[in-house]
Order: sequence, then C-alpha cells, then structure tokens
Amino acid sequence: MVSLTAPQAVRKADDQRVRDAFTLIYRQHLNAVYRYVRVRVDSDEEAQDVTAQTFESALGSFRTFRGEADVIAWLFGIARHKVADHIHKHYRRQVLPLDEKSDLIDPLPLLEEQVGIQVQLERVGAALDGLATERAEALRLHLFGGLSFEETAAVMGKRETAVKMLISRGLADLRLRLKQEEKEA
Amino acid sequence: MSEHNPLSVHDDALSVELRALAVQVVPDPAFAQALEAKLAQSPLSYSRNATVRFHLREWATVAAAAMFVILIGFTTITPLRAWAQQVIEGFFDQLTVDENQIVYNDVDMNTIPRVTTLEAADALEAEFGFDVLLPTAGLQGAQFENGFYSASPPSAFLSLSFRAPEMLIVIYQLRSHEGENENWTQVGASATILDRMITFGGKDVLAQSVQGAWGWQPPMGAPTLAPGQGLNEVMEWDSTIPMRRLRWQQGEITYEVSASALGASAALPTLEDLIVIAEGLR
Repeated sequence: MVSLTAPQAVRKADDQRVRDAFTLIYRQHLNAVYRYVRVRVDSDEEAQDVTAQTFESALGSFRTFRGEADVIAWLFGIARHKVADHIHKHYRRQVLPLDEKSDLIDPLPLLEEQVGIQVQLERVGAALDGLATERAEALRLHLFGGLSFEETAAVMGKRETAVKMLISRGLADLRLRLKQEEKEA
Repeated sequence: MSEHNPLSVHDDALSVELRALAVQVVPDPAFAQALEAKLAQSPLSYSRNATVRFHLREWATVAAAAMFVILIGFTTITPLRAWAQQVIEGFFDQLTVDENQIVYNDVDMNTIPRVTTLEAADALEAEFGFDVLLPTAGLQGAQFENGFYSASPPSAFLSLSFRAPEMLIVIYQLRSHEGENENWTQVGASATILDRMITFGGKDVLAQSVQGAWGWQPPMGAPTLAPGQGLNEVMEWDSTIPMRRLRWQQGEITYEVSASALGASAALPTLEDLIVIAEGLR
C-alpha cells in the first residue's frame, strides 16, 4: 500500500487549494480574455488556441504569483504576449493606410447594416490593426477585454490619464476608418 | 464635449456599439469546459535546466563590472524569453547550480545613446511610450552620473547610474516583453531570493531581491571588460559579492534598482534602502 508522507499530504492539500483558486480565476476571466484575443486573430479556432495557451501559461506560474491586486494585469499581460507570438508566427492582416482627409460624417450607425458577429468582428479587428499600435491596444483591452481605465493602464504600463486619451483618440481614428471603409464598399 | 475629451468615451456611440459587439463574442461552451478540464489535470510547476560549468571567482572587479554588464546585457538582443515566461519564473531565474556561462556580445559603448542629465532622461518618455520614472528619495548622496537607453525595437530601456564614494546605484526601466540578456536575470542555486511587497504607483506590488553576483577568480584572471569587448566566461554565483538588486514589474514594464558597494570597506545598502528608492520613483 502506498501512503503519503506528511509533507506529501500537505503538498497535496496545497495543490488543491491552488487549483481551486485558479479555477475561479479561469471562470471569472475566460470570456474577457477570449474577447480580447478574438478581436486580434482571424478565427474562433485561433482564438481558442491562444486563449488555451494563455491560461496554461498562467497556471504554470500561478503558484508563485502573489500580486493579488494585479491579477487582471498579470493575466492580460500573458494574453498579450501569446497573441503577439501567434501573430508573429502565423499571420498579419492586410492594413490599408488611413485617409486622413476623409470627411467626418455622423458615425451612426456604422455597424447596423452588417450582419453576423463574425463579419463585424473581422471588420473591427482589421480596422483596429490600422490604428496606431497603442491606441488600438488600449481599445482592445478596454472595450473587448472589458478592462477599466485603471486596469488597462496597469497592463500597458501607463498612467490612467494617458490611457483615457489613447482610447478617446483611438475611437476617433476608428470611427474615421470604419466610415472610410463603408464609403469604399 | 470635444471629440478628444476622455470623459466622453463612455457615451461615445461607437464605444457603445463596440461594447455591444464584444459581449456577443463568447467562447464555445464545449471549448470552455474542455479547457477547464485540461487545466485541472495540468501540472502546477515546471522544471528548469542548467548547464554545469567549472567556475572561477574574483569579486573585486565585479561591482565595477556590474553596471557595464547591465549595459552590455541590454544591448545584445539574443533570442529571449517572452514576458509571459518571465512572469512564470519570477523576476530572477534561479538555476539549479552555482555555475553559469556568462556571455555578452561585443558592443561599442560609443554607439549606445546616452543622456547626461535627468531632464534629458525624462524627455525620453515620448520616445519610449512609457513613463520615465526618476528617483526622489533614498540615493544617500549618490549623484547622477549618466544614463544609457535604447528606444529602438525590439529593446526599449533606460538605465540611470548614480555614484557616491564607494557606492553605485543603477535604476533601470525595461519594456519587459522586449527581452533582455538572460544572464542578467539568472542567479545561482545558493542565492536567496527575498519576496517583498512594495508600494508602487499607488498599488501593492510584489518585488524580489537578491544579493550577490556572478564572479570569477585567478588563475584565469578577471576578464577584460574594455568597452566593445565581449565576454564569454564561466562564472560562479557568490552571494557575498556586495551587490543587491530589487526587481519588480508593473504592466509590461520591468523595473530594477541595484546597489553595489565599491571598495573592501564600503557598506552595501540594505534591502530597505532599495525599497525607499523604488517607492520614491516618480
């Protein structure tokens, strides 16, 4: 009969606590991470793959993670790099330059006439790719990742006021780009 | 409100539409369940590999070399770990042995951009895309000496040196996912890594500290560390070398404060001294 030694028993109980805690984090943040990843890649399959890598990587470091105040920043930091690795290895969307001379027309409704979440997602994702890097990233984290301004700032290593400005200007750029594409369609 | 008023983002029509789109993007339930089950079966820890090498030791030149090592390390971009892996391994990569092959490629220091004033360092913020933080406390009389930086991809870092009689303090900020020379974060098996919570940016942040460095000894002699000359030596971890480092991360930026005692009778700043510097960065 095989029995656990005292240290092994303690370790086993500790392992279970760690797993239980991580399961809570997984359930709480899966959707947000998936949304952030999905807007950056081209298919549900790719998003699932990168999301899985993110949480697998997070689990691998969870035992030593002690910054409880920065769980979101920690998790999204991993997600960002898994996405970057994936894009670097596999794919880059074709990005057209923004015509800054396009007229600013009332943006509403930009997406109403399009059907299908996938189509909308592809269009928004491609448009985001055409923005300045940090503005696009701030928008993805805030609007798709669902992060607050403070959380977005923590992930990006910036002040909250800087993030708000990035998001504000990013939305303006995105609005212009979407309207331009609509005109060209 | 103006188009760029950040307070208007919540009411921005496009923002509302994008949020509405985002909530419709959900992972396939079967995928979510399968991943949860897989994670439940995955191991919680991982193992490292380290290469065993014969070692040499000579600490006298290590402290002076420390700053140079940092600079060389940051300017030689080897295939490096991603930020995510750095989170996995903590801020220091502890090997299973006390020997390590320390490799730094040839670098002409004259080609590395530098700043000669703290004002110039502060002005680099626009190039870096992240906030440049400067010390406001704890330097114990050390004066700004110089700074080196790179704002060119893939590296983005700023290293500021402050010198006092018999003491060198180096503060650096690195966009961590850009990578750094892995030797710099490696410590020996006998190193004691201390975890400390510090208050940084208004938050409690985990930081780690270690005392010591990689050293070498005669008869092979101390490697010549002339500017532009590379280094490829087997070294041994020595926790008695008077160099103390404090390292932490916020978002994608890695920060480190290191202090080196120069001279046999010099006092090495304590961990609390480094924390004062870290928490005083603005």
